[in-house]
Amino acid sequence: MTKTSNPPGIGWTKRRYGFSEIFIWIPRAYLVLLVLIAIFGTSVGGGWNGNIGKPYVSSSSSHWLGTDALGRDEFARLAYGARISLGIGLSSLAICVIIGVGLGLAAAFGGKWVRGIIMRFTDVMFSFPDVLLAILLAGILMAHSSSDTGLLGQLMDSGILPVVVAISVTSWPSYCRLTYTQSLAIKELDFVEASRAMGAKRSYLAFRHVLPQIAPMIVAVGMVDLGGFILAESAFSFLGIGIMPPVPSWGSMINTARDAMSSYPLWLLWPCLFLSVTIIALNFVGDDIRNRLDKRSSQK
Amino acid sequence: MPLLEVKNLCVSINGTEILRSVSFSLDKGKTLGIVGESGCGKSMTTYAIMNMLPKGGLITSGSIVLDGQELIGLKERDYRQIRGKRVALVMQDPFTSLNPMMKVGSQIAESLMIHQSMSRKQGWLRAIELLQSVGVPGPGSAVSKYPHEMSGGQRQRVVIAMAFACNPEVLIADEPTTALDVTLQAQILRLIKDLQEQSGTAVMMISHDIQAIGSISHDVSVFYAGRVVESGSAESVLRHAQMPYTQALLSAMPSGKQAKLAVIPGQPPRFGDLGAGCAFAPRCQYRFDKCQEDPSLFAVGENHSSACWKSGQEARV
Repeated sequence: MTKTSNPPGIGWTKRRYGFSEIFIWIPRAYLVLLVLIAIFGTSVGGGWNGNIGKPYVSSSSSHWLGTDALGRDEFARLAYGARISLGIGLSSLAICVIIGVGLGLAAAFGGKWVRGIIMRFTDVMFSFPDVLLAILLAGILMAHSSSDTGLLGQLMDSGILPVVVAISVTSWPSYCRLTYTQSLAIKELDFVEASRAMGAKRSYLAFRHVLPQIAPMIVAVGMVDLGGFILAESAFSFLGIGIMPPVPSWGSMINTARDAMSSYPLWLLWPCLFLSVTIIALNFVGDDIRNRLDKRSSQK
Repeated sequence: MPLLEVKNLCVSINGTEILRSVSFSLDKGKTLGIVGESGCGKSMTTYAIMNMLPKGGLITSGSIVLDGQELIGLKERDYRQIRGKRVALVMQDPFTSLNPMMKVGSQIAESLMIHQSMSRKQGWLRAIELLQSVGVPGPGSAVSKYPHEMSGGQRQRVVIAMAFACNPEVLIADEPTTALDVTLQAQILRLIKDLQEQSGTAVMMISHDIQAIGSISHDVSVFYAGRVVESGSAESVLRHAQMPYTQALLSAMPSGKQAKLAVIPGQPPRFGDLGAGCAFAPRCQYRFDKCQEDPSLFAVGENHSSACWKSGQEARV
C-alpha cells in the first residue's frame, strides 16, 4: 500500500522548498538565537542592572555593545529586553489562546443562550482600545505601587502584569471568533456526526474531534500575533505606560536613546534592530506555518 | 412485539413537511430494507430515530418505540445512552465519516470507552479483535493506521467495526455501499449480514438499489416523497410489486436481457409543492381520475400493502 503523508485537505503539508528555503531557516535560526540570548545574555559585562559607570562607552571586550546613558552594559540590557518581550508576548498569547479558544468552543457547542452571551461579549471586547486600557492600568499601578513585595507585587511594579493584562484583554476576542467560526464548520463534518451517533458528549466532540483540527491554525495565527504583542509592549514602554525602569524594555530603551540620537546613533539602532528583526522573523515563521496548512498555496 | 417500531412519524424542516406519516417495524435479528430515490426522506428517518435531525428539523408527530421504550421526547442525556450502545449507525461515505487525524484504533475504542467504560488500553485491544472480525488484513498493524492509509473498502469495514463495537440491538446502515466500488458492494453487504447473524442485531438497511436490498432483507419498505408507498416481505414486494413506483424501480435495474435500461420519466417532487393526491401520479403511466386523492396503504396480500388506488381497487374487487 502506498503510504501517503497527509490526510486530504486537513493537517500538515510537507513542502518542498526552492531558493526561498533561506527565508524559512534564517528567521528560525534568529529566533532560536534570540531565546538563547534572552536566557544567557543578561549577565554579560556586569549584568543588565549592574553598577552605574561611564556612559556611552564604545563596544569593547568587556562591554560588547558598549554602555548605556547610565553606564550599564547595553548588550545585557538588550538581552533582558528580549526576555521581557518574549515573556510578555508568550504569556499574553497563552492567556488569549486559553480564554479565546475555550469560549469559542463553548459558543460553538453551547446552546442558543451561551452562544449569544459569549459572542456579544466578544463583540464588546473587540471594540475596546488597548492603549486606553494600558493607560488605565498604568494609573492603577501608580496608585498601588510598592504595597506588595511578593512576586505579584514585583510583576505589578515592573509594569509586566499590567501590560500582559492590557494585551490579553483586548486580543482574546479574535481567537474566540476564529475558533467559533472554524468549529461551526468542522462540527458539521461527517466524522463528528458519526462520533455523536456513537453517543459521544459535546465536550468530547469539542476537545477530541474539533480542537485538533483547528489547533494548527491557532498556532499559525499565534505566531504572527506574537510579533504584534511584542510590538504593543514596546509601544507601551516607549510611551512610558509599559515596563517601568530600572527594568529595561526595547521600547523604553528606544525612548531613552532618542535623547542622544544625534551624538550616539548606534544606541538607538540596537533596540530598533532587535525589535524589527524579531517581528519580521515571527511573521515569516507564521506565514510558513499558514502556507503549509493551506494546501492550495503549497502545491505550487 | 417488534424491536423497533416507527408509527405515523411526521418530520418537518423549517416548516416544510419531509416525512409524512411514516410507519414501519423491525423485529429482533431481522433485516428491513428501505428503498427510494435520493431526497425521499430515507436519511431523515435515520436522523429522526437517532434524534440528530439537522437544524430546524422537528418531529411533529408520531412515535418511535425501541423495545417498549418511547424515544421521542427523551432528553439528550438519555439519548446518549441509546446512540452507539443500542442503536448504531453506519454512514454512507467512509471517506468522510472517519476523523482524518485519529488512528482507527482510537476511533473504534471511542464508543467502548463511552459505553462500556473500558480504559484506553482495553479499548485498543478490543479494537484489534473487532478489526479481525470485520476482515481487515493485518489487524495488529491496521489498528494504528490513519484512515487515509487505508482503502475505501477497508475504511468501510472500520466504520462497521465501530458500529458493531457495543453489540447494538439495532444497526442502521445508511447506504453503506454507495461510495464504494461495485465489486466491494457485495462484500460489504455480506459482511454486515454475517455479523448480524453472529450477534443477532436487527438491521435497517437503506439503499436505492432495490435488487441488492431485496436479496438480503426480510422486509422491504419503499419510500417516495416522504411516505411509505409499498411495504411487505422482500419476496412478495420484489416478485409481486403492486405500486407502479416499485415496479418502475425494479424494471430500471439492469438485467442483461434488456437492450435498453428502463427509466422513470420526470423527477421526484420537491418538498413544499406537493399537490393533493398521490405524489407519484405525475410520473405514473397508470394514472387515472382517482389519483387526485391521496391513497392510503391498502393490504394487497398477506403482510404486503401498497399505497396505490389501482391496487386498492383490485383488493376490493
